[in-house]
Amino acid sequence: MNRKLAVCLILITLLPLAVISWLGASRIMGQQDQLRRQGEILLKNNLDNAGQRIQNILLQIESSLIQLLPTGEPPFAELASISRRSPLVTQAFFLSRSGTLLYPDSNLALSTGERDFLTRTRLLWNDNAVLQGNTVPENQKRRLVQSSGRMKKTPHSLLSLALEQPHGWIPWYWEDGLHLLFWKSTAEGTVTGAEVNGITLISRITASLPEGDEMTGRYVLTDARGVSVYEWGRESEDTGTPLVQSISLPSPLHAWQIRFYGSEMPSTEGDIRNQVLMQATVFILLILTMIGLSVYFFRESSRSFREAEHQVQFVNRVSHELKTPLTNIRLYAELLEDKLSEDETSAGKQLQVIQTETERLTRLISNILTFSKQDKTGPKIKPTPVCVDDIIRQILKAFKPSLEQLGIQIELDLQASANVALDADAGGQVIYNLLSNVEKYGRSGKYLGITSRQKGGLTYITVADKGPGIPRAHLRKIFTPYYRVSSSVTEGISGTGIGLSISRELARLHGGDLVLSESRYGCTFKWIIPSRGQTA
Amino acid sequence: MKKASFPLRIKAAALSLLVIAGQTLYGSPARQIQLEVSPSHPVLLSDRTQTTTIKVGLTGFDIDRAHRSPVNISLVIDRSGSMQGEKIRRAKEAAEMVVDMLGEDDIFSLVTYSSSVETLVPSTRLTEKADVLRSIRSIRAAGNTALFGGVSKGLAEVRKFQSRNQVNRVILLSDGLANVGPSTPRELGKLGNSAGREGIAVTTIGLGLGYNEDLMTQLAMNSDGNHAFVENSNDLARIFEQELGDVLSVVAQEVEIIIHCRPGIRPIRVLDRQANIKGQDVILTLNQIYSSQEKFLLLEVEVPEGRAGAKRDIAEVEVAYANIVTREKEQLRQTAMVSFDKSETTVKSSVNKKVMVESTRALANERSRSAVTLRDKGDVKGAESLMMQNAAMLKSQAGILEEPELMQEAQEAEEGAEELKKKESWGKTRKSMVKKQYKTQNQTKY
Repeated sequence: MNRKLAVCLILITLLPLAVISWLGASRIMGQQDQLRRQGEILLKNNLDNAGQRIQNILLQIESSLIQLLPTGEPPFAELASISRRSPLVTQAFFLSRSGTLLYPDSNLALSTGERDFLTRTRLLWNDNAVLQGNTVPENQKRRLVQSSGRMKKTPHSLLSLALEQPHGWIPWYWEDGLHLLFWKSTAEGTVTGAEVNGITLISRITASLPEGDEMTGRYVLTDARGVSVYEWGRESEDTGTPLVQSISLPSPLHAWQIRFYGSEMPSTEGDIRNQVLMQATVFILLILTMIGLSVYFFRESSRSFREAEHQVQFVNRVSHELKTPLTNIRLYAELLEDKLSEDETSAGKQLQVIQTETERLTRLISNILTFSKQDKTGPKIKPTPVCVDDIIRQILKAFKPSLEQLGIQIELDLQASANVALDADAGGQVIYNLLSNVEKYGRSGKYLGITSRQKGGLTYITVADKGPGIPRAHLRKIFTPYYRVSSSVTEGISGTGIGLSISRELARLHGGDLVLSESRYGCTFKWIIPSRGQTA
Repeated sequence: MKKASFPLRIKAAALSLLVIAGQTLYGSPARQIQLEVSPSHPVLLSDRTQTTTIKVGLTGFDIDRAHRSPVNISLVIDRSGSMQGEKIRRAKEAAEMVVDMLGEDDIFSLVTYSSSVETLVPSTRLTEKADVLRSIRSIRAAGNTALFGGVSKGLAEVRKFQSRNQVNRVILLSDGLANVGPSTPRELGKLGNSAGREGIAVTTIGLGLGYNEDLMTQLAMNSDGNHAFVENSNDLARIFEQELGDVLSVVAQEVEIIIHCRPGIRPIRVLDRQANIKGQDVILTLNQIYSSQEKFLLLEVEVPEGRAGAKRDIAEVEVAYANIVTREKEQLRQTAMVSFDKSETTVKSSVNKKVMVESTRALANERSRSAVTLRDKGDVKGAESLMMQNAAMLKSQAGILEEPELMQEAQEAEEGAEELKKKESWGKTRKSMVKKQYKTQNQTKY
C-alpha cells in the first residue's frame, strides 16, 4: 500500500533537494569568484598599506635627519658628536663646494669608526667616481650600488646630484649588508650628510609593520638579496606555497620587496567561514524542513490509509456478522413461503416483502464484502456453467413488487439460454445493482427493459430505463467507487455509490465488461460476458 | 661670673660644631656620582718613556628604594617551538613575577615572537595588572625565531613612553638562534648600539644551551644592558629578579666619560672595553650607573720622559650624566696626575694595587676572549695555552699585589683550560665563558 506512496514521497523530497543543492553549489561558486576578486583587492590593500607604513617611517627618518644635520658650515666637533650620539647616524660627513671631503679628514687623527667609514666610502668621494646603477650581487662583494630617486643615463657624482636635489639617499652594499648615505645640500653648495645605521632603519620599519598570524597567507619583507627581513601572517605548513604578488618599496629601498605567499587569496577569516556557514545552515534547514514535511505527510497519509483500512475491516466484520442472521431469515422465509397455500395471499405478500428486503440486504452486504475484498486480493469468482437468463429472472423476482409499486413497466427480451461460465453470485450481483439503480434513479421513466442476446461467443445483456439519464459530465465517473452524481435525482435517495464500480469489476473479472451505452433518453447499461469466461 | 659662662661657652661650641657637622652632612650634595681617577702608577720612573694605566671609575650613590624612579620595561620573550614545555612555563612565571614586582607608576609591555611577532601587551601603566597577567598566561610556544623583529617591536613599545626621568629597558629572553630577519652578532650589535644611543638598554637572557651567545652579548653590550646565561629554567625567576633589582637601582643615565689626554701623553688603548679614541680624546658612553655599583674603564697611556721630582697632569677627565633623582644634568671633573722618581722602590711601593688588580683582570679577560676565538677555529692547544698563560699571570699578580681573589681566578683559568678541551661540553663551556667575560668586561652585578 504504502510503497508507492513512499516512493512518491522520497521523490518529492529528493527532487527539490537536488535542485537546491545545484542552486546552492552554483551560488557558492559564484561567490567564490566574488570572494577571489575581493581577496585580490584585499591583498592589494594589505600590500599597499604595508608599503605605506614603510614609506612613513622613511619619511620620518628623512625629516629627522634633515633636522639633525646642521646647515651651513658646522663645526666638526658637532658632526663628531652627532656621529657618536645619534641612533640614526653611524658617521656624519661634510663635503666642500668643490666636492672634497672635509670631515672626516684623513689628514687628522681619526677614531676607529671614522677610519672604517673612510674605507667603506672611499670610492664615493672620488670626483670622477661614476655612480652607476647596479644589480645586487648574489654574494656580498665589495660593490657599489647607487641609485637616486630618479635614474639618469649619464653618470653623476655625489656633488652633481646635490646640485639638482635638496637631499637624497645613496644605498649600497658592503660586506656586512646594507649601508645608506643620506645627504643634504646647503645654500652655499656644500653637502652635509650622514651614513645612516641601516639596522636602525630596518628595526624601525619592522616595528611599524603588522604582526601576528591573523592574516591568511604569509607576507614577507625581503631585502635586495631576497632574504627575509620580517614576516607576518599565517605561515603555511608546506614550503611550496607559491608567490602570489609582490610590491617594491619606495626609495632608497626600492630593491626591497614585500612578497605575499599563499595558496589562496586572503580574506578576513570571517568572510569565507561566514559564507560557507550561512550556506550550510540554510541548506541544512531546508533539508530538515523537507524531511520533516515528508515525514509528516507520510504519517498523515499512512494514518488515513490505516484509518481507512480499519474502517474497511470493521465493515467487513460487521457485514459478516450480518450475513449469518440474514441467511437464516431468508431460509426460514422460504420455508414459510412453501408452507403457505395459494389462498393466504396477504401473508404471502408480507412474506414476499420480507424476502425482497432480505434479498436487498443480502445484496448490499455482498456488495460491501465484494468491494472490500478488492483491497486485499481482489474478489474471487468461481465461474460455473450457468444460464444468465435464469439469474436475471431470479433477481427480477425480488424487485417485482417494488417496481410494480413504482409503476415501472417491465419489458423482458431474454435470448441467452446457453450456459456461460459465470459465477452465479457475481452475476446476480451485477444484475441486482443495475436493477437497483433503475429503481432508485430511473423510476421517473416508468420503464425497465432487459434484453439478453448471445452472439459470437459473447453474451450481451442490456438494462435500460427511460429516466433522466446521466449527464455528460459524469459519464466517466459513475463507475468510480463512492461516486454519486449529486443532483435533484439522487438527493434524498440513499446510496453507497459503490454499486456500479462493483458491477464493472465483477464483469471484468469474467473477462467481460460493463459499459454505459449511448441512448437517446435514460440509461442503457450493457453487460458483456464471454461465453468461455475466465476462471478466477 | 666666669664660672657661670663656662658651660654656656661649651654649649655654644657644641652647637656650632653640630651646625658645621650638619652642613657637612646635609648641606653638601650627598647624592652624586663618585668619580675616581687613579693612575695605576702614581709615581713613575724618571727619565724614560713608559706605559701606565689610568682608571676612571664611577660609583652610583645610594637611593631609597621606596622613592625610586618609575621604570619603562618591555619584556621580549621567545616563544619559538624550542621553548615548549618547561621553558615557556618558567618564562611565563618569571614574567608574572616581574609584573608583580612593578608598581602603578611603572610602564610595562610584553612582546612575544616565534615565526611572527605579537605585541601581547602594548605599553601601559600597570594600574590593571589582572589583564596583563592574563595575557602572559595565554602564551603558547610554537614556530621559528624572529628575534630581530621581537626586539624591534619591544624597542618601539618602550619608545612610546620613553622619558629620561625613568629607566627605559628591554629585557630579551631567548633560547635559540635567530632565524628570521637580521641574525648575525654584528647586526644585532648594531641594533644594540642604536638602542643604547636612544637611551634604551637591552638586557639579554640566554636560556638553555641552544642560543647564540655572541649575538646575545653583542646586543647587550652595545646597548649597555646585562647578559645572563641561564642553563636551567628553574633559575629564570631568580635572574629576572636580579635584573629587575638592577633596573630599580639606576641612579644616573646618559653617562659620557671623556678623557682628555694632555699634550704629549699618547692614549694607546682601553683595556677590555670598547671606547672611542680620537686624537687625544677617549670617549666612552654608558647607558646607566647603578647605585652602589662601580663602572670603570682602564686607559693605557704612554707617558714621555719626566724629570725626577716633577709632577705632571696626564689627563683631564670629564663626566656628564643625567641624575635620575634630581632630574638634572650634572658634570664632574678630575685630573690624573703622576710624579716622577728615580727610585724603583718608591715606584713599586706607590703602585695602586686595586687598579693593578683590575688591570690584571682586564688583561686576563681579553686573553680569555682570544682563547675562545682560537677554540672556535679548532685550535684547542692554542686556546688551552692562552688560558694557562692567564693562570700564570693571575697567580703571579696574586702574590705581587697580595690579592687572594686573583689566586681564585687563576684556579678558574686552569679549570677553564681543562674544560675547553672537552668537545661535547664545549657549547655549554663557551656560553659560560662568554657570560663570565661579559660580566668582567662590563662590570655587571650578576
